[in-house]
Amino acid sequence: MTAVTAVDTTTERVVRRRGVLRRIAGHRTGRIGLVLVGGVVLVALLAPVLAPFGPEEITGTPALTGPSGAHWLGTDELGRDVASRIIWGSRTSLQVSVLATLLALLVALPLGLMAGYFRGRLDTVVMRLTDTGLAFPFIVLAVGLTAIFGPSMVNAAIAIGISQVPMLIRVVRGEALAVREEDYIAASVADGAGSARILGRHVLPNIVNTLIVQVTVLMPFAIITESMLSFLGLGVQPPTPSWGVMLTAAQAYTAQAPWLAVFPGLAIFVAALGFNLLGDGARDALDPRRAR
Amino acid sequence: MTPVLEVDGLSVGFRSDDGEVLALDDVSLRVEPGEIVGVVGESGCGKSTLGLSIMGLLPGSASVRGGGVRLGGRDLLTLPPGELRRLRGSEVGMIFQEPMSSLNPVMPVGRQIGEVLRRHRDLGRTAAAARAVELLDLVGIPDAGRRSRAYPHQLSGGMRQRVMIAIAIACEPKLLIADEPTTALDVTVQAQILDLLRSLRDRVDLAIMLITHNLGVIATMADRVSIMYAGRKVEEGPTRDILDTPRHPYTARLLASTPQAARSAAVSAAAGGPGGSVEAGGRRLAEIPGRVPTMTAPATACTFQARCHRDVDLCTRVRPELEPAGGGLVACFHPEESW
Repeated sequence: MTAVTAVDTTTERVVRRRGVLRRIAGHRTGRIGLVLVGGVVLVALLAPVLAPFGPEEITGTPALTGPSGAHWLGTDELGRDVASRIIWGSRTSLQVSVLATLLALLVALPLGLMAGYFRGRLDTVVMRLTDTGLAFPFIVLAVGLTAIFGPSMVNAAIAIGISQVPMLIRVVRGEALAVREEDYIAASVADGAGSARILGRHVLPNIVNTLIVQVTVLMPFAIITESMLSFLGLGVQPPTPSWGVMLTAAQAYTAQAPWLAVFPGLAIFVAALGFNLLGDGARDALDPRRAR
Repeated sequence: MTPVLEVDGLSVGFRSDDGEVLALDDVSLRVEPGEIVGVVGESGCGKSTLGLSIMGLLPGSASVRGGGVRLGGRDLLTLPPGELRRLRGSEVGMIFQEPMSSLNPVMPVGRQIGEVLRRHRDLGRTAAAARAVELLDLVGIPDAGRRSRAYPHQLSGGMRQRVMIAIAIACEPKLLIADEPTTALDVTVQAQILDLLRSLRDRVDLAIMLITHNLGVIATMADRVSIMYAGRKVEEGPTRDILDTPRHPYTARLLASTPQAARSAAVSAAAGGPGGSVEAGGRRLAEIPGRVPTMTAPATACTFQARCHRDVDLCTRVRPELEPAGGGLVACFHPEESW
């Protein structure tokens, strides 16, 4: 009971600060998503405090011990605390997904905005490049990047980010196409505004809602994909904990120590679910047709 | 005195699937400082195109085929894009028909006014915000300080049109182009907005080019009026003359097709007399048969000939030019002698 109250007060505090968050929190699904995502972020931030053991620390407990009072989620094949590794692993998941999403936004936002607003030849070029990008198999890209730069968390994030650029360009361009036809764009042209100002002050702010929803789609995708890449050995390298790395290690012990696979999988599930619910809530709460 | 605006023989064409469509055919217009000039015509007559070409805002499918536009003596058609952009919003402002959608929905209205000031007048954020409140006050928005922080959806249509006007006059332009400024508003609000425009003309010596299809609006507002038909100006003159004694058959029939109450009010307002008697309804309005032709080339005959009640051979062969008649100009071989 106390735990629930504690979560509620923290959400309320965050909620009061931002209008967007408040509107999402007013939506039932959005509220659940907000709590789940907020939980994952808190766990990542407070990892040193929350985790009873270090992420790579080999505890005295024998390897592959099941969940117990000392090790809530058991120990892994090297006798490390699974709970601690999942807690530390949340940092990797969040870092990769934030990095990948930022990278995708950084590339796709200006290209999509300009393509949609200016149309013409620029639009044609950007859209054909986008088609090419969409036709390119993602795994090949990830393998290629790792082959050149070596497997690491950052490279995994870059691969995930790049893979999302074409889709994001399309979304941003579509929104820009719609906004450029609005009367207030014509009105600000009539007031003497230049293209840069119109893009920055009028087009971008009016597609932010769509972007927020897109981010909540990109984040869980990145989390799952990071796990997948790490599982394939293309992402985070052992012994650094990541939910994907933990799954990879667990596959050899599925029969003897199922908790090794179940708990990281559950963590991925909860984080992805949280972001998806948050996205659902954001889409409903920020839809101007419903808001106004 | 140099006129604020001189449009001289302007022709504008639009590319379309069926070849070029001529939206403006040799149109001339003058607006003197502090004058309100009405431009009247039905949909598709080219009146909005005229406004847009003065602002340099014609869409990409349109091109100027000839003529010139001078604003305060400067030729707008040869001005480089950057120069033109500096003129827009500072020397000439424009307000549109749709106040509901002409404001950015995600920016407080005060900031939208401030934007123009910061762009054209190099004001800082605080100075622009303070001036924005003054402007909101000037356009008659009560509690301007608080309203400047409101978002467009928190304001009524009339309020929003006031905000649009505040934006348009923020940099004290000499000319305001108002394209159907009251069409989307309630009748009572229309009157308020028109009052505001008139008081601005008196207070800040603003010249206004008023584009509308509403003869009632013209009657209460305009000093002079130009009647447009199918991309050509067919009649021009002092508002009172035009409404009292229309000479072009199109003008006459346009007046006849206006509801009686509005028309008598219009005529008496133009005459400066007391409110006209409102005729009891029940009479069917006169309509003008046929429709506006689409011009693909400069006219070689009278453009109104097909819909004219008189059938004169000359009208089908020769294009009438604008000739002095009464206090104005009319393009008709057989102008109406009296109303």
